[in-house]
Amino acid sequence: MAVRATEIRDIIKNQIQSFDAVATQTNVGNVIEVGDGIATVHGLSDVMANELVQFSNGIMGMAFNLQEDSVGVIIFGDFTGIEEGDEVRSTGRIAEVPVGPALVGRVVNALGEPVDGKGPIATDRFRAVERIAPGVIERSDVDTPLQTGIKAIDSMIPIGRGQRELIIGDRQTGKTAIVIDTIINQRDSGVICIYVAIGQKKQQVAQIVATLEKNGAMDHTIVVVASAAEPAPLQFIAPYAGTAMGEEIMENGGDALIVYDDLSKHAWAYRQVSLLMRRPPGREAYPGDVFYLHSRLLERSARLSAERGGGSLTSLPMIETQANDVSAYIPTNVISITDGQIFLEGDLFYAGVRPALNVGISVSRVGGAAQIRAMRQVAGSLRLDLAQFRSLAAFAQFASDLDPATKRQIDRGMRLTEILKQPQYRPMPVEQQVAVIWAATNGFIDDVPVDRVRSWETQYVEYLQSAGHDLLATIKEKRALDDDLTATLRTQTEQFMRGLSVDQLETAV
Amino acid sequence: MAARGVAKRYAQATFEIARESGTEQQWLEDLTTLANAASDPSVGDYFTSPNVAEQAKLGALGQILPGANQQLVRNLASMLVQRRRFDILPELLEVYRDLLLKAQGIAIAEVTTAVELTAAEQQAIQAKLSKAVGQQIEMRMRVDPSMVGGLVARIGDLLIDGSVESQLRNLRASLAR
Repeated sequence: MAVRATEIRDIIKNQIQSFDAVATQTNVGNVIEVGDGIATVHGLSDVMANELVQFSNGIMGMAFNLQEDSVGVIIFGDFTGIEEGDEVRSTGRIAEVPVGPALVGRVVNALGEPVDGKGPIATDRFRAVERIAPGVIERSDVDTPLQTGIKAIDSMIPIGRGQRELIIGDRQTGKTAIVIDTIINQRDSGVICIYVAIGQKKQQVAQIVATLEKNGAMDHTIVVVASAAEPAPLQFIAPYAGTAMGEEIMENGGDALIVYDDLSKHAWAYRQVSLLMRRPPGREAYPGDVFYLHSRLLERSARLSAERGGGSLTSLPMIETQANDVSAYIPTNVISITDGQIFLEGDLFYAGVRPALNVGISVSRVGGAAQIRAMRQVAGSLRLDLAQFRSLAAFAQFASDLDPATKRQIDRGMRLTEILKQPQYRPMPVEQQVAVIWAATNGFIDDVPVDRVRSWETQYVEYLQSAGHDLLATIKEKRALDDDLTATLRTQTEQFMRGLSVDQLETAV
Repeated sequence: MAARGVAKRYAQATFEIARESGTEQQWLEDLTTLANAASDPSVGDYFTSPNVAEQAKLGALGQILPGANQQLVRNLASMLVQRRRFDILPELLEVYRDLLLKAQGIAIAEVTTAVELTAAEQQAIQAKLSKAVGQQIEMRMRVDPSMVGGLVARIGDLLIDGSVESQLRNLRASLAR
């Protein structure tokens, strides 16, 4: 970025010399009323829906309501400097944000302007914030996995590229932790991640950015921030702005992952703007088109067909429920739009099951086809064992004497639950997940005390990495467990178990 | 906001009546009289006050508009009194004037310049603007030295900006980037 003073002087000289007295023609109007982040403007007779307009003090806005005599404008920025009577000019441009590789690694606001103090973003490409989703012909099946690195998700609620998987739960149940781990796990997968923070505390966003940086995940991530301090119009367009950045990657054949954290606050921001614009309130005071608000956003996630470059945009929207009420308006809307949901529960979280996934009611409607074969092979019995465990565990609370078969199933279930626990910021590669789950579902840990299972897991993985020769690499490469591979895995595991003394294992705290 | 919508409907109806009888200018004068009366606080309050009997108001209207050929105007005013919308008259007049100018093919241009223009210059500008919008132009001149030079013309919602001030502002914005 070293520009010499003479160069700057030449540029300025050029511009002054070519300074031409051209008259410009613009469509204008005047502010009738302003406040609360919106303005009513008289005039602007030729303005388009969603067109950017500029107030006389330079602040931008967007035409939101077009009426016979006036235009309702949502203001992107500080509205306190705008006065009644001020001139408003149309720009002829639909609301747009900068896109392209220059954004990767940056923190930007909802308009794509940098807020990380790392200088301007060097891109000349822009994309409209609102856009119609790809059509039916342009799409193809979801068939490639998006590895989150979280055992419970990759095994039982698999997510594919181009899928929309909702993450739902009360506050403080680890929703953000899951997506941060997922973003960290994309370090070597080539997937560009976009994290859209809507209505969050700036402090929290700063922490997330720091975490991503510390784990080397900022190099493939764009963070779009519309914090709680920013006006509702910016919070309202932030997810669309982030999606536009993701679409650029998808349409150039790349894979992108976008996280909306969270859509409840997005709905609140939209409700605020709509009520101020005097659109009629409906259920829970949300406007009538709040379903379309989210459906048109999430429809833009897609897996494109090979003719269109084969790119994908996967989305992980988040919803914060109040007191586990998933039948409120916004949760039911988003549940019905997405291709599955991951439920997080406070009770599980406090019982020490972290990530606090309720695997019984979490589903993924399309991801199964995207799972690698090896994982599908081992996950089948995992799901079955856990389901049996859940139905038996309820009874077992009352009965002291259990027949050996029941007891065995309960013991197995407790160990599997233990296996699915995972510390934060430590995503696990899929081949390790396959090996661990294989060993657990094949009875190798039935004799390991429950509180030592996690220590067993660490040592087992270490053993496979060091002594296991290229076993893990072979699983990764073949993506399926054939007879040979299963036999090797069995001998290796047996060898490890022989050399293991349970007393060496640490008890989990 | 809503009031303006109402005034617009009344003005459109009034204008159509006026045009049918070919008395647009007469109506314009009468409406101006009424609007002046309505914007005078003492008169306006009299007609909008709920303390004054409706009959008295209607009688007073006859004094403002005594002419025999003003029956229709009196009707409009009476209707507005009865519907308690007497206060929209100034806006009604404004919209009526716009409609009249539009029907005559005349557009109003607010032209702002940095220095006073000569009559010849004004005529040249008028001709140019009228060619640009395809309508006759009625000019309202303003002088604003702060714009340094050039000219700004506003015709309805169309702004033609050729001022040195805004060009300097653009240059500054492009250099600051």
